[in-house]
Amino acid sequence: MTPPITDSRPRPSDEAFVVIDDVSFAYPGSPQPILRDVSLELRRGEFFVLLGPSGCGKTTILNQVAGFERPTTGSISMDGKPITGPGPDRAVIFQGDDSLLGWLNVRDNVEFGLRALRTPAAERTRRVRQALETVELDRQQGKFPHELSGGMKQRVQIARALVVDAPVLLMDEPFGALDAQTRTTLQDALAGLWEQSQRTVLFITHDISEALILGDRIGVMTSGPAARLQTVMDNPLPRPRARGAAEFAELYREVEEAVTAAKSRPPAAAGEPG
Amino acid sequence: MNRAGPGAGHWRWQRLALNVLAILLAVLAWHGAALWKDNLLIFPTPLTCLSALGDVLSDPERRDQLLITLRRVVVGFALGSALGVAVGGLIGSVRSVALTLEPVVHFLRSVTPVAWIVPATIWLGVGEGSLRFIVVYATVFPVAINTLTGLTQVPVNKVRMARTFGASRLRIHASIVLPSAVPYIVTGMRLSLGYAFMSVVAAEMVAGRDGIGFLIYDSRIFFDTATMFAGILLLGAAGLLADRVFSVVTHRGLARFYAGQVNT
Repeated sequence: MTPPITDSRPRPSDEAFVVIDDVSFAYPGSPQPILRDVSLELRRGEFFVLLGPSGCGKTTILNQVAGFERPTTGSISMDGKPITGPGPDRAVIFQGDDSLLGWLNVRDNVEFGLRALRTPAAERTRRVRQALETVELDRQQGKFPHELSGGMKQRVQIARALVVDAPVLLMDEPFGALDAQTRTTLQDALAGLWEQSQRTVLFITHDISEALILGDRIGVMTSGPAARLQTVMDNPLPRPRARGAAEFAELYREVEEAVTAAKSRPPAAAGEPG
Repeated sequence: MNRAGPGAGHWRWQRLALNVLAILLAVLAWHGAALWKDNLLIFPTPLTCLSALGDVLSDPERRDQLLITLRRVVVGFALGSALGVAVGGLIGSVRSVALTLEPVVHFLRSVTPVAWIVPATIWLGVGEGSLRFIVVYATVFPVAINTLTGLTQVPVNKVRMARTFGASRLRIHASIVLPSAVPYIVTGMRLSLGYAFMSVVAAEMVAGRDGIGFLIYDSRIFFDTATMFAGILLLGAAGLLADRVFSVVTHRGLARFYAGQVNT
């Protein structure tokens, strides 16, 4: 087993960890690419949010980093090594709940990755218990997914990702299908959880407020097809962040302007992302 | 799945009332037709048939015919389903087996089981062996083909999830693809249960010495049409009941395999 990754650094470093280098992606036989010339570096321990309209290829970027799909041109590497397929160093939290195994209870769902990785039984029990406590699902561990609320199901996914101690978490609009109240609760819980673990997170959303609560940096995508990364904005708001604060509202306006600008970019514009 | 909501009780009674009404109308139409035909020997009334049914059920020897047929259905269905899951599972899992066996399976499933009754009696003789062969033949293909279909419906995000943890192909197959196919397998089995009832009766008429099929066929000697209809009523009731029981038991017992199908 790989030792648990516990990054002792209190803040994200400037070191590039996951490097997306000039990636384009098109499905075979399709004239229009989904992504064009996307370059992006995730720093070790940072919370990076990709923000963009539906259908702009955010999920495609995540799928490439996860290793589910390969870039048509360009390359992606992690810690200097090229990504060629999925692996336990990059846990994925999927958009819907269809990655949960309906025939297994919460405990067994969370344990699934550890079994696949052949972790010894005692270690599995310990880690699963810990992860369930972290997401506050220890009382629900005997329940089956169809007996859980949408928010609980996403917490099962988060526990399943935490339990294998992956240094990178890839989250594809994990709270998109939840009601507003559950969404804010889970956003705050995730922010707290991330601060303790200092994992590198790539988080996808189309919700500006969500991006501001969670992200250290926010990448704004243009509309698809042939989507690009329009700009990357720093989010210096101190944590924990308050949705009502004046600085929050100000930054919200700035990001909103960037999103609007990204939507209305002329189709042929070739301005390289800053 | 349709969970009972508020007002479901009201609907339940309405449905039951409609069901009873439909049966009453059918019986009434039957009675009318029998009166119009005016020949009890050729076309008995519902009441005559009901009394014949009473005779069959109160005669221990003839009552046993139903149990004999039901046992054949259950045993043949169980064997055929097991074989169907094995064959469908093998075809769905191993590509070379698929290429070899799939055309044969599709050929065989197009041949009605009834066509095999005569060759079966030549090979296996009149009696239990032939009857079992026919019921197994009738049940194996729906289960095999549904299993195969289930195995080709790959649950993309579940498999992707497993791959992020480095799960082997075998583990993905055993712990994700197969359990995901359970609803398909159950659907195939439900079809097969109906086919078991249909085929066993035909087989009993030609290759049997007992059972409801034989009872119906044997009644022709005495021109006992009322008993024929009594046998038909028994078959219909038994088949309907078996289907309801199977459906309720599988949906209750395997609910967790169905959950999540309606989600994204």
